[in-house]
Amino acid sequence: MAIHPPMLYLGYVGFAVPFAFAMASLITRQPGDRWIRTTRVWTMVTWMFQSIGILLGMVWAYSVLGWGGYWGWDPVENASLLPWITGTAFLHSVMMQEKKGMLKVWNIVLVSATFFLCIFGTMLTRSGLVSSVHAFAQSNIGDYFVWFLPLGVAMTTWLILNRLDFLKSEAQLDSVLSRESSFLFNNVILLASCFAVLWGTLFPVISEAATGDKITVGAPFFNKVNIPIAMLLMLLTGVGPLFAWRRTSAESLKRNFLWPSVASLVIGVGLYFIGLNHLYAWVTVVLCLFVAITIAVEFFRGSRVLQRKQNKSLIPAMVELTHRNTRRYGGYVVHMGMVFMFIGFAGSAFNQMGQAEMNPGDTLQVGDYEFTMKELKEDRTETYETAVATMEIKQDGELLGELHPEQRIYTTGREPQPTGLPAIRRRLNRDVYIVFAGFTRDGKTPIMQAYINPLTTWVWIGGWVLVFGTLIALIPSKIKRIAPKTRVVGVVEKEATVAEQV
Amino acid sequence: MPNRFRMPVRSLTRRSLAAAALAVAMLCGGFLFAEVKTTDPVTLRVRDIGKGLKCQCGCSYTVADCNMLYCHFRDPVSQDIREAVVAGLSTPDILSKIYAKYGEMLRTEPVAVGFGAVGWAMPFAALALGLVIAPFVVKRWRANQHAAETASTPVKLDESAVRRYEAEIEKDLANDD
Repeated sequence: MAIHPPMLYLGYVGFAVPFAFAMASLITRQPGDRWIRTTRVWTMVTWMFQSIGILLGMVWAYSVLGWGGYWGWDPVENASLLPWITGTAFLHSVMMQEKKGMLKVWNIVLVSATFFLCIFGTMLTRSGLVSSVHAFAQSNIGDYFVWFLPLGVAMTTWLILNRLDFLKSEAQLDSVLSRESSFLFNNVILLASCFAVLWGTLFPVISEAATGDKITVGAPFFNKVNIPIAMLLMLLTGVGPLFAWRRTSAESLKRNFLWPSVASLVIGVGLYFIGLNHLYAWVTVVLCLFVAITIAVEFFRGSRVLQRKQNKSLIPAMVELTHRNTRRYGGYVVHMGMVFMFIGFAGSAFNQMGQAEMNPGDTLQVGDYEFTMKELKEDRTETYETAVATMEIKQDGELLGELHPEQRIYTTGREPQPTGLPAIRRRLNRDVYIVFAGFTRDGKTPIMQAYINPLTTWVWIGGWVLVFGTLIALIPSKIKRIAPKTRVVGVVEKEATVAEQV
Repeated sequence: MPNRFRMPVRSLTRRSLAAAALAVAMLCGGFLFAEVKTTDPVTLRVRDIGKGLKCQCGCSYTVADCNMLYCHFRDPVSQDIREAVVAGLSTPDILSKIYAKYGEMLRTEPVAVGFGAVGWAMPFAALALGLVIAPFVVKRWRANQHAAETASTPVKLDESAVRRYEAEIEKDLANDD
């Protein structure tokens, strides 16, 4: 877990490189997308580090610190999410510039926004602008960032406006139903989500400045605002890759959408009748199923073609297919990772929790689980005092096993430092999670918290699938495409001219 | 690779279907057993009310969800809520009492009046603005395309030439991301 901060650090610092290249191309008046091609791999690696950093933070909160959940919408957590969102938007929209010469200004704006959100995140962590569980990182260094941020934003804005002539796009679109349109809407939704998180994070400061009263916002606000936006994003994750570049025919739309839509709805109806009756969770799961099916079908179709052509079996054909275009299929794997994560998020709508003061022999009931404290052991080492409970778990009367939540109080510092070590029984369908939450005021009776968290394991699986997909996308494709941008530039008397731009 | 080492396609498809069915079954299992079976109604109500109050120990969680060791805030507030629930007060009355005692900063979300309403509206306004602007951008791109097409002299091409050019473009774009 110690690598959680360095991973985030690599993410924050890494985004400075594509930003620097973008600024250099503006300063030296270099037209084109050379800076994007040069920094593509770097940007993806940076994005991967940022993803790992966020993921490890979630694992740390859940599995090590025993905070009960993995995401609390803490300002510093949000600060790490903001550049990740704009970085994700950037990774999608650069494809428009590479392939079609579009969105040149937008890409510069996105990479600049990502860089300045990294600076903003550092400022938020180090300045104590808003109260946070990460307040331990506060120091005077935050003041420098307070000055650097507006100065940097002002200079970058001036530079972009001054060089607009060099950023003229070849913005043409054959059809509204195209990959280009889907990327545009993807960017809109990602940016809206970024704004919602930023707005909520700064709202206490903004409200205090505007009205004199600090209006606080917590997880319920962020959830209410971001869940609908995230669902729209999940829909586009499924729909976007099914659109072709330039235009998508009605027949292709029908072929690509019909069965995934029908299958996901049928499974969704089935899930409703067996207990998935929370609206947001239901919609999220149906959308996830839709995206998963479309991705599976994409892999299957491509692999079948190769299988027939090269007389290979399906799995080697799938590997070959992925190797031929690692960026595309690695991207699909990343999307699949997001699907798994969203399924885990949907499960949290059904979390249950119970708390009780328990002595050995006492029982706590949470849902259909029964927790009995069998034993309490207290001990002391050179550095900490410890109390470990042995909790027996039964489900509907059937013994599942024992868990051993622990509480430690480190005594070597200036003040005693208490920490809880949760005990978790992980399964794919649900976690049983027990936290030793301390003792009653008289110091005699332990307080135990028990959680039933459905589908949480899928969040971690999804996270690692996302990282795996990014690694695939970083492998050079087997087939080099030397003409990535082909467009008809005009039709002359006898023959059309096909111009190729490398 | 010798043929005997190859998995027949039909068998693989069946396996894939079985794996997919298993995955769906696991998901179903997660939700099937997730139904809430109430235990102590007072505890559940205290928890429900606590979900609407922001803990002030610096944890970013609600009073119901905070599980910081020796949280100085969660326990006294939870005790106050419990006493009010046992006394038979309604949820709005309990919340008013808690806000009066501990302050408005316990709210987890802005009240939808005054500047609080702006707090709620802004994220959705930003999304709506983006979704309104995006079609105009698409329309402009389409207009650019139309202008480029009409700028060149239209000619009749024979069917085979059109197919040849289409095939060439499709070949270029087929494997693109």
